Order: sequence, then structure tokens, then C-alpha cells
Amino acid sequence: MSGRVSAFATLALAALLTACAAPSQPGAMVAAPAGEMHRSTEAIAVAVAGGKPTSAVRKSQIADEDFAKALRESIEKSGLFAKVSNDPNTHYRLDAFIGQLSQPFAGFDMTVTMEVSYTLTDAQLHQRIWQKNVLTSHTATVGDALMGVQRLRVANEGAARKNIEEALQEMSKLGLQ
Amino acid sequence: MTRWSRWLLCSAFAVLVTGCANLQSARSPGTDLTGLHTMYVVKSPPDDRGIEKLISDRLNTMGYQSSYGSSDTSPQPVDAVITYEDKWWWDITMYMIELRVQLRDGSSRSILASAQSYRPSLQRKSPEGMVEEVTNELFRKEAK
Repeated sequence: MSGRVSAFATLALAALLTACAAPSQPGAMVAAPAGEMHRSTEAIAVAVAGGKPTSAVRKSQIADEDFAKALRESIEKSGLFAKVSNDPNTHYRLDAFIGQLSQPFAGFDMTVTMEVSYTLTDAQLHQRIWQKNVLTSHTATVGDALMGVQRLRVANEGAARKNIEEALQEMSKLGLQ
Repeated sequence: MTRWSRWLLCSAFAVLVTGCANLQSARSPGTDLTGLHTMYVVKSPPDDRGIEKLISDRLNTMGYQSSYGSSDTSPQPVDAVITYEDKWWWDITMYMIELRVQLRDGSSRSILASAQSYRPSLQRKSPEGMVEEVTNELFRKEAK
């Protein structure tokens, strides 16, 4: 009896320690929009707010700096702007506010819904030129990841990737110089 | 059962059952909520517990003019629109484990601010208590 209880206790502790939540990874959130993108000759600066860091004992989240990194890499890969810069005097500025990240507590298929408010400003004219709420969702299955905490992270990353992709597609339609 | 096994079992059980309550908010950079007076709370489609009315009543108590309804748009123009998501869990009885609220611009619907409260079973609050906690957090800097 004592041996069985010890084994159960060890397993319970192992489950607690190994099933730690991991933050959503920037590389997995990078979007690759399909089709031809408009190419602006100007540079853009990117800022993100509203995200949350991940606590190991809670759910996987999306941190501001990780989403910003994915957004910057996605813009660079797409060629939508000539350069992504940290210079505050850059021609364009893109602000992304993560207003909602709706996650399930448990489940085999985990669907995460993400809503981001994007605002594109002409920093030189101090003029807002585009604003849009982008709502996307992604479902991760047991085939994507066996552990629930990892499945949630995959769902986060998918929702973020689709969100960035849709935002880039919309900005491409603006035909900015 | 050895003392070590007992300690492990109790630790594992405590972590699984209690967790930590969490209250968070975020605001879009440069957003000023002081100019907001009229609000409309949009009923969340899955909600059949009347949380939209609780939120609207709470906003009225806080000094705002608030109304609520099932329609996605307010019958009258408003300064801000509130959307929310309530999640429930079962532990002996059903309780609200999480409430997320988004404050949106009345015309563009862009999210200006958001707040959320997560309370596991042993730290549970009534729906009214959750609503009060989240709305206080949402307007913390503008307390009327």
C-alpha cells in the first residue's frame, strides 16, 4: 500500500513539474502571407501592448515582446515595408494592442481566439491612416501536441500567426508609398 | 504511508485545487478613458445568466450611463461598448472561474482597454463580486 501511494505521489509531482506552461514562441507566430504584397519604400516602427508573460504554473500566453518580434519578422519577410526600425523618426508606426486572447481551460481540441487592434500612423504627419480590429482563431488537436499545455501554446501561436497574416494583407491593400 | 509520501500527496493536491487568483488589465497606449460617459453592454451569445445586466448595473453604480442588450449595436450612439466572456466551472456547485471584459470605442469598436479576473474554486466570488472586481480594475485610474 505504502509503495503504491509513494508511486502515485511521485507521479503526481512529476506531472506537476513536467507540465509547465511555455510562452508562445515568436518563430512559430511569424506569418507568410500568400500572394503578391504591395511594397512601400518607407520604414516602419512596431510597438505592441496588451500581451502577458507566461507563468509556468498557469496557461501559455503571448508576451508583448514575442508578438512584436513575430510582427517585425513577418513584415520583413513579406517586404511590405522597406525596413523595420526602432527609430522613433521612422515614417510609419504600427501599434498593435492585444485586446483579447480567449483560451479554453481543457479539452482535446483547443481553440484560441485572438483579437488585436492595429493602428497605423504616419509618424511624420501625426496622422492615423488605418485602424482595424483583427479577430482570428486557431484549433490545435492532440495530433499537434499530446500535452494540454503544449497544445494551448500551439493554438496561441496559430491564432497569432493568422492574425498577423490578415493584418499584413489589409495593410498591403492600402498601397502606401 | 511514509511522511515523505504524505507530504508529496498533500502538495500535489493543494496545487491542483487552489491555484492562484489573478486580476489583470491592459490599456491601449495613449488611451484616455476620462471622456467616456455613455456605455452599452453587448450580451455575450452563450451567456444565459444575465451577466450583461450585472455589468451594466455596476457601470451605472460607478457613475456612467449604461444600457445593455442582445443587439451588437446600441440603439443610441454611445461613447463606449463593452463586450465580455464569462467562463464557468464545476466544483460541488457551478461558479464563475473567469471573467474577461473588453472596453471598445463606441464608433470604431477598436479595443481601448481590457480586464480579466480568474478565480479558482477555493477563491471563488459571486458573479456580482467578479463583475465589481473587473470593472474596478478596468477603470482603476479613472475612479469616479
